[in-house]
Amino acid sequence: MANRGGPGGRPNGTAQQQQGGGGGGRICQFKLVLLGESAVGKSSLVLRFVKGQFHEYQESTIGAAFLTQTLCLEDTTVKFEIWDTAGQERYHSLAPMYYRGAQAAIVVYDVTNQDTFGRAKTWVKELQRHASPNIVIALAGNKADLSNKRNVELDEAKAYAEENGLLFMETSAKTAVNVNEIFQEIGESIVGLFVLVVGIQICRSEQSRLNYVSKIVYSLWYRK
Amino acid sequence: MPSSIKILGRSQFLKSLHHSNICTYLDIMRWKHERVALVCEHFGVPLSNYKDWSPGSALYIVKDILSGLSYLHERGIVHRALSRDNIIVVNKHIKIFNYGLYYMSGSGADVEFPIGCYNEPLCFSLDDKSLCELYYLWLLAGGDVFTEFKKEGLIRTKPPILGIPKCSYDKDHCESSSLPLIIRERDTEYQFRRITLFNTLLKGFPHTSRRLRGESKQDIPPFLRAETWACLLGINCDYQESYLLVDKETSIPTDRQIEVDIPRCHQYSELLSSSVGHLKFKRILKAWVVSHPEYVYWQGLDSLCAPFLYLNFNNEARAYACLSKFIEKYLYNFFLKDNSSVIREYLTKFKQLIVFHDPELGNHLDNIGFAPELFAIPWYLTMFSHVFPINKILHLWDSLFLEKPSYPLFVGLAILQQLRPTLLSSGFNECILLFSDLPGKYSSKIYFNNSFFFSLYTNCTVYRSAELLRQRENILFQILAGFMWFQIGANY
Repeated sequence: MANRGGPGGRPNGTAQQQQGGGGGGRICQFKLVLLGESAVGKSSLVLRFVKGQFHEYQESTIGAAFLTQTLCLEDTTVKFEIWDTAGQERYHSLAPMYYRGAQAAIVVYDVTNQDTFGRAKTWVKELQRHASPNIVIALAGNKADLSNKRNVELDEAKAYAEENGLLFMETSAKTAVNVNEIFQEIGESIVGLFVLVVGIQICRSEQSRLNYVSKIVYSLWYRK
Repeated sequence: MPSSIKILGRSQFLKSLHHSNICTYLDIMRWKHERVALVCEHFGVPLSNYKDWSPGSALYIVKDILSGLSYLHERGIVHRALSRDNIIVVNKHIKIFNYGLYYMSGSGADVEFPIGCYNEPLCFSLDDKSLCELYYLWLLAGGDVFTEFKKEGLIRTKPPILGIPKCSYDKDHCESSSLPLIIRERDTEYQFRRITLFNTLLKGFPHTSRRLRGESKQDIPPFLRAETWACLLGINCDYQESYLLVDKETSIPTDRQIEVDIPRCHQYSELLSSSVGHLKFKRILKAWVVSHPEYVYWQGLDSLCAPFLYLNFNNEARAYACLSKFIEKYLYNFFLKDNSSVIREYLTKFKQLIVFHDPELGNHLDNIGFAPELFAIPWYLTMFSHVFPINKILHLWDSLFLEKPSYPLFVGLAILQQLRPTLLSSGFNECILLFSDLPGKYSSKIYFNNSFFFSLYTNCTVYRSAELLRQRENILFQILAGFMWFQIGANY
């Protein structure tokens, strides 16, 4: 275990890319970690995304749980390796083991509970400081079906996400709102980033690199 | 939460009421369509049909009624439906009947009919043995309260209770002891003998300690499991008092965590999911946190508490005492605020054990990076109570309580052994998915059957004899252990 970057035994910070057989599409494997206060619905989001199920009284997670799910984007198949972590503050010391080398993180809070939003901010800070620099972070305001009991305003969270360059959605594992969408958006932005990074590495001269980056940025802008 | 679950949880208390002037409640169960059935002692003549009104008998009638009522009132139960039909005369002796309805329905809030109206009870005759015991055996013998309801009117045909053996304990009879555990637990005759035996042993405890442990190795009768566990764990006899003295009400910072964890802990169990269950759960956990200032609440403590509460639903103090003893013995220092070194040491031992017993498997797991840190923390922090349903935990812990604190390591090994072929042919992802925490994943794949325990015991024996050998090769082993320490340490 000494030389490995953590769960999965893959080197840190890079996505794996395989050439798909025949069809020409890429297959990418990404490591994704879920973080957030306990009982905000991390396991429920994963369960909804992976199995399409919802359990009202989802058991608490101890240590962490692992699941995988595949998602098809335009010409790329993305395989998520998902680490769902325990929420209690005490398990904090285990977290680096799971977010180390992750390409994406979903930081989850509960829209009905302001404290969990505060905790989410702490997680974001920690990820920005200690996770791999290219990590894509998404902020998920879960339990959106309970928005009549809301304690965290949509605009507040949105502003915070924009300030920190996070993807953001309000989700509901219970009603399945925005669950697949958030994973999809994460997938797209990692694939985009991945293409960008590989492309830059391929370009030899300074000028061609610059051209390449501006082309990518333009195409991303145009697509939006 | 359905009313029937609320009623079910609340009414467990009624089973703990015993007095010579009240009818004992034997069981409360839930059925389809929000029906709840009560099983209660009921024999004799209702007062409405009673003929002898001489001054002498009137006196004892009044005295008995009052003493029964005052017993109930002291325990916060108000009858609210006292009538001549609910007072029964048995051999010049009064028993108050049907006193629990107002209490269990939350002062009438959970039922739609006024208290006092109820279905006429169905009756079947019983011999005079301990009623609870007899009722339990009746259930085992195939008795089903709801079937009895269904065939109302036909009830006086031979009830299954007549199938209970009347003979006393026969020592030579042991053919069924070789049958699988599950079958033994459902065998009326076998359970009859085991209960008789364990009753004697428990009464003689601690004098009978050795015999009790010996017999428990064979199996523990489910009817007496709570008492047996308490003896095996060696809880102090003043446990009621010491539980009473702990402050379980004042709010503490851990409350929030406890409150979010309890409604997610083994909620498929009707008892544990009831509101009374939640309250008791909270009190026990708080009591533990408050009286162990050197430790803190880690998620997982709730799972650990669940089997004890499930077995001792009417005896919070005993559930608490068992939990405390259990942690002291098997999870020493696991709940320290910084438990990382304790856990790391434990998991390192686990890893050594795997490599020692099954180098092929150990190497394979090491090669694919399948480290115990990634799957075994919930196993050991909760002694498997987070990963298996309660009925499986009960059997596993039955055997755990007879063994040394190192036993759980062998349980882990036996689990890996049971999945060995799959593990050997899989990569990291498949392996970790096998042990993934989400419901229904692997708990259904593991069977605590005879062969499981056999491999467990042989492993333990092999390891212990190997320990002797190891002492001679101590130096080599230390080098090996040091090497692993280094490897695992590098991960943190």
